[in-house]
Amino acid sequence: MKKELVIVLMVFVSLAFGINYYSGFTSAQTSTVCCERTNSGAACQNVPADECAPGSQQVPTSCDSTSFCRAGTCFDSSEGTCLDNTPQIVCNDNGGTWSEESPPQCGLGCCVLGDQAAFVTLTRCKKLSSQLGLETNYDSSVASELSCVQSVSNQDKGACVFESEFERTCKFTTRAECSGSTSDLNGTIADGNFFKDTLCSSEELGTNCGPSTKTTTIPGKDGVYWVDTCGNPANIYDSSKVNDKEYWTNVRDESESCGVGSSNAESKSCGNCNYLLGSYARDKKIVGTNPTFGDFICADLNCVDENGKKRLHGESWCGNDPGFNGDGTNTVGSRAFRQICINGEVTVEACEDLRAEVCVEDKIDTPNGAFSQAACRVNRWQDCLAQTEQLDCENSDRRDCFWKEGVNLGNESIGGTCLPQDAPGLNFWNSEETKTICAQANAGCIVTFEKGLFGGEKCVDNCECLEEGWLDEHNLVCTALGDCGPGLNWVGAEGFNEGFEKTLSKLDRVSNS
Amino acid sequence: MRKDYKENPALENMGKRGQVSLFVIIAIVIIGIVIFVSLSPKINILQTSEVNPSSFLSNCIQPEVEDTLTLLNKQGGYVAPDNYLTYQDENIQYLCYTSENYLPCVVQQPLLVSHIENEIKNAVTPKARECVNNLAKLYEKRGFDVSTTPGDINVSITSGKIAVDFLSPMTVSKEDTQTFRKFAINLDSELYDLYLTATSIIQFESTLGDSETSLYIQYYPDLKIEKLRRSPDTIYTLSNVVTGEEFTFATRSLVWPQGYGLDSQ
Repeated sequence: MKKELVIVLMVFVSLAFGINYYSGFTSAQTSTVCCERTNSGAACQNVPADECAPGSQQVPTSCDSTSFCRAGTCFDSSEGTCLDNTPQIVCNDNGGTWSEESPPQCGLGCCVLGDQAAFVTLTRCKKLSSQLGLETNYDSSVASELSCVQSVSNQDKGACVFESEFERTCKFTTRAECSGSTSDLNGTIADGNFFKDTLCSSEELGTNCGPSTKTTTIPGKDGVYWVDTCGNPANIYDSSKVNDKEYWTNVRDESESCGVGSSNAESKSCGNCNYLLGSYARDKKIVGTNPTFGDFICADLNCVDENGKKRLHGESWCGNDPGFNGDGTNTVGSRAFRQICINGEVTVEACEDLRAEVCVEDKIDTPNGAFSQAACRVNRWQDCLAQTEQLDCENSDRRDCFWKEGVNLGNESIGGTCLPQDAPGLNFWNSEETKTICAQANAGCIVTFEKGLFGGEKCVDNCECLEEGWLDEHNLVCTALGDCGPGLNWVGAEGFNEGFEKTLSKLDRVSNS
Repeated sequence: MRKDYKENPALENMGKRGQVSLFVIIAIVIIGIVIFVSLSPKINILQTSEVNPSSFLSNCIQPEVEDTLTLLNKQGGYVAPDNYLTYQDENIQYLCYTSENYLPCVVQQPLLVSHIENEIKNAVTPKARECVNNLAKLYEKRGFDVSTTPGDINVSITSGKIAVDFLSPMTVSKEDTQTFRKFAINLDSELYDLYLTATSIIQFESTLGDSETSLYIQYYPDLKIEKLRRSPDTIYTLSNVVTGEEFTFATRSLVWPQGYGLDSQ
């Protein structure tokens, strides 16, 4: 008979206390009603009946199924705009016209507004035309915004010469407007003579308009333009051309003007601003720099980020808190941010709190260099714990998880655990959920020692559990589940407690064989 | 040759009396000027029988319109928000709202421009009537017969302009009879574009649960959009970088429950 004493040592790391993971998922479902107006004043919400305002309609069904809160299209007849997903009662109460499907009035077409165009509804076109003092010119057969804009960009423009108050004067406009079929704010231009691509300041025209030292901006254009003595826009502002007769005679394209290929930001001599390169014509008082002539200058819209890197106007990039690492080690309170360069200022947009969103970034190669674009998107950590295969776990098309080899959360048949790359934040200061979640990282390990015949002990099974690395690995699992266990907050400060508890207990067992 | 008064006492006395007289005359002139200057505005008011009703009403009503606009622009277009969040002591109206998790918001105000026009109208009307009464009293003090009606206000917000027309027929008669039918106040403003952008953002939020603010940059160079996330709410501040005008509103859309969502079940 062999007598063997086996000492069993149990190592138990506890992060919360014995609450079953799934026990928290079952709770009583509160029945809701579709409420026309809630106590807080919100319209058409699915809420518990006691949150419904006294006297407002309520039906024990979803709002989508009711007649009064059903979502549809709301047509604003005064503005000519349409808004989808609007409850019937909200639309009608505010003076709109509601319909379940998009009504014909919401159909879009091309609205020509002088040398500009807008892809809008007919009602909207009428409103815009009346605001600008133009006759309505609407084409419902144009199917896209691009073709709408192209239709006006091809219009002939030039000097329209006509008699006004016994004077030969001029207006720089389109051929159609010059023909007298259309009118401008100053009235109808009748029987004007049109000179394509000629400026009103041209001496050859013999009008009362001539060169000046004033400049202006033109709606829809990026740059600063000379303006003649009659107030008509001329070519791009170029201080070296102030007395150049030829420059004041014929229309010159922006690509043939000063500073092509450059933003000309804050240039005193050239007004060839380029919005795509980060400059736009603004009043000199806003910019704070005086041009050689006139009141307008190309404002610099580009930025410099916190690392000193130049950023173009409209460029966005991620700027996360330091503890936002994507390896499951997020610090408590850390958050993802998107930064955008707008009008020379870097604007910071926080992604959803508690790491419900992450920031993603990519770059587009352009002739002017890389242009980065960032966005906040949902952090897809929700089904990480349910994955039992490494391949599924690391499928980045479906989820944002990583595979931790060698540790498991209860199921010993799996060789590892699938964990969130960016752990969700937990409302640990005001919630029971945290205990439930963090308890999933509780781990027990039975270490077996064998006593020798002449005294002494020898570890024979699960000996790694006594090493420091075992504890670190399980703490990582713990942190990756959420705001659990040991760790720092987003400013780098430690918590008041250690964040975990290690228990060693000794079980004596004697086996006889 | 210079005369030396010290050589002749009679001449010396005459000189002293002349100096005193000169000082008295100068003092009287100065006092006269001071009295004239201090009384001149009153004299003007008392003597002027002409009143410019248009500028009187404009000066009286315009501050009220501007104050109302400032309040509306801070509070999502509502003078008295009813469904709002409080941020930095401001109550900001939700223009799109859902009380549920995981769902896009429900539009709360589809006709924002019309709504703001009505809010201005309702807020300014009492003041406008008070201003008309004050104008009538001013005329009556000057011996005019005045006939007024309560009147009505028309507010129109369009691109580049906010027009407040006060339709208050007023007949003023003394020797002649004058009738004023409409008093107009026009403010240069780019708020219309901000309100339409807000409506567009609401469309995005109600359809997709979120909005992509950088999309607007390529179309509107003067527009700046600040998006502040305060889970579960979003506060938008739209501003015109040239005029400095701002419009702030709130949404609650596509709410993700905190953590694993066990508390909310």
